[in-house]
Amino acid sequence: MGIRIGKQMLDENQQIQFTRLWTDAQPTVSQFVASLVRDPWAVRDIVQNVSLVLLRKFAEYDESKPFLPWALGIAKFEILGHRRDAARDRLICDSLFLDQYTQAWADIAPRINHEMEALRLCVGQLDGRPRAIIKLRYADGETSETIADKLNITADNVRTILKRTRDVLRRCVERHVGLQGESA
Amino acid sequence: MSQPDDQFTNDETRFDHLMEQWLESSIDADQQAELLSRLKEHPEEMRRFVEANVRDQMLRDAARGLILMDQVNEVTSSLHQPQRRSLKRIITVVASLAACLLVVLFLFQKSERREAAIETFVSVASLYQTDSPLQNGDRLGSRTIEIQRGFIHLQFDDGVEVTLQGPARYELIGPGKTRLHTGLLTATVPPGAEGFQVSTPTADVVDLGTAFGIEIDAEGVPEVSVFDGEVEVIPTNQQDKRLLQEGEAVRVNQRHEIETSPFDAVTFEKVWPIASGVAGSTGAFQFAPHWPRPMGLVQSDTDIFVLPEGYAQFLNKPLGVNITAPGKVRVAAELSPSDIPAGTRVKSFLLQFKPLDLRDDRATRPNQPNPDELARIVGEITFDRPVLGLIVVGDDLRASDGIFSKRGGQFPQKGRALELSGTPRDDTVTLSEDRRTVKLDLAAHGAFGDQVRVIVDQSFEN
Repeated sequence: MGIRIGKQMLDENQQIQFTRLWTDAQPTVSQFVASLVRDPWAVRDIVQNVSLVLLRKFAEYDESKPFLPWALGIAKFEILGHRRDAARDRLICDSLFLDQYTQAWADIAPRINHEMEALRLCVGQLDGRPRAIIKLRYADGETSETIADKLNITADNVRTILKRTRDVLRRCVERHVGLQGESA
Repeated sequence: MSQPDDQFTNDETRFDHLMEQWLESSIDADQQAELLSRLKEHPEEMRRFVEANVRDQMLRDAARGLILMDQVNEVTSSLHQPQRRSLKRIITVVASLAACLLVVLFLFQKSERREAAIETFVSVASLYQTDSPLQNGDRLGSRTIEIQRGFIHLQFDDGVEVTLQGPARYELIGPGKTRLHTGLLTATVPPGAEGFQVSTPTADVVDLGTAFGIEIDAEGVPEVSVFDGEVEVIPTNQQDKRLLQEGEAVRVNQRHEIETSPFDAVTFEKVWPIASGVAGSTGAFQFAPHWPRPMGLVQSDTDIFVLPEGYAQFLNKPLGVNITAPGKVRVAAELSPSDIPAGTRVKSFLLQFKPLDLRDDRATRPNQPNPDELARIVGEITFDRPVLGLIVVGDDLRASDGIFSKRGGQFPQKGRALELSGTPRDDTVTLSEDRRTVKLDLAAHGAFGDQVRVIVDQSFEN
């Protein structure tokens, strides 16, 4: 029994294949969208639309080519069609920028994403003020100024701590990834 | 378009600043135009920009995982508090957490699997009555251990041993570097592993070859007690530091001031048997902590004292022991003597029964007791590692004093061997089939005591 998407019918193998490919690509596509659109609800809508478009067009997908660039290409058009992020309009309205950005993302993200597991471990080891600032900056989306107000320190201090903490995380990730590589 | 600030004379620094503003969403329209122009013209800057954005998104995902973990920890610990909560509320919290945990478990599934490939430097030696999900023999790398109750005995690869008493939160940062956030621990640091460090909220404690304990009170103030050797206590503001000697204790308050405290080993009395490698005992066994102790004066007509004899060590020559086979020994012919090979890593425990010295009041103790009226002292002690051998013969006890005994060998002790003649007035000793439990059944008579030296395996493979 297949499912009908528009005029196309996906057979069971295609459904399984789509699920596998989309499950792998979805985190990277979500990160790509979120890097250009700050509103989390808009990101959710866009990613949902991307998955529907991909499913609808999956019968046309050329299996000899990588799935991620195709998915990112669809996501790029969905972002263009959704332009509501005034703060970032200037960049995302520029089609040349968006093309270059999308292509570079498809090249770079798969090379870095394997560090995610180590990054989670390293972030989990943070303590004290660096831990608090990383949470405020990256989980709550606060700026250096608002973090500074909350912690009663200067914004420059916040930036310095953020930079040092990212350096610490980078070294920690490199160490873990290096060890994984050695033991592989 | 706005002009670049004076401070950004360096072109690369200017680009980094624009990227930061973009990533932080605090970029204005002019800066955005400047950034866009640079990105379109310089592919290398575009590559750096995209990589920074990918990493920024990864960090956001990781930070959200952090918040989720913190919430789980917070609610988990509040569920362990003795406050009364409605069942409905607990079920609601647990149900919502279960959904979160599924996500977290999914996210961390791979990383946990890979953790074995990540640098490990600690083994779990034993656990007692604890809520920890860890198991004996688990290998650990950098991570935080949190327990609400019970004890965990950890062995670092360089020989350092740490025992945690719950509730406690203890972070393994790296080999030789740890942090006690809350709770109580003892650490035993053998020669060669000096420099082992435990950070606390207000001070770093650096070992200089020793055994010490730290307890952090409800206000986050640590109290450091030294049982043996020396430690250095360095307040985190680096303003002052103090060298602590055996028998001394200090607190480092929230203003980072070091205050002298009375040394009180009682705080650590629950943790010390586990820290020493004793899994449990019944009957007459009493634990003699191995910090300042006048063992010659440890006397009792009813108790057998357990004395850990210093650090685990590698034997530099074969060690003769008298009992190596499981079973009960009543007569000397049942001994199973052997040598423990040189190079074996062992720890020694002295089990001592020493009746009260009544030389000033001899009339109270009959010289020729009636065997039918003899009191017997019976007890079992279980170690967390296998027993390699027992020393019960006088000559062998004396020969091994120099290896293990820091103080006991300094004065002659008569009649310390077990009496193994098989009569009702004699002693028996039993080694269990799993070689971890020693049972002593001693005849309590006369002025002489009994000693058994237990040699326990401390090889890292166990």
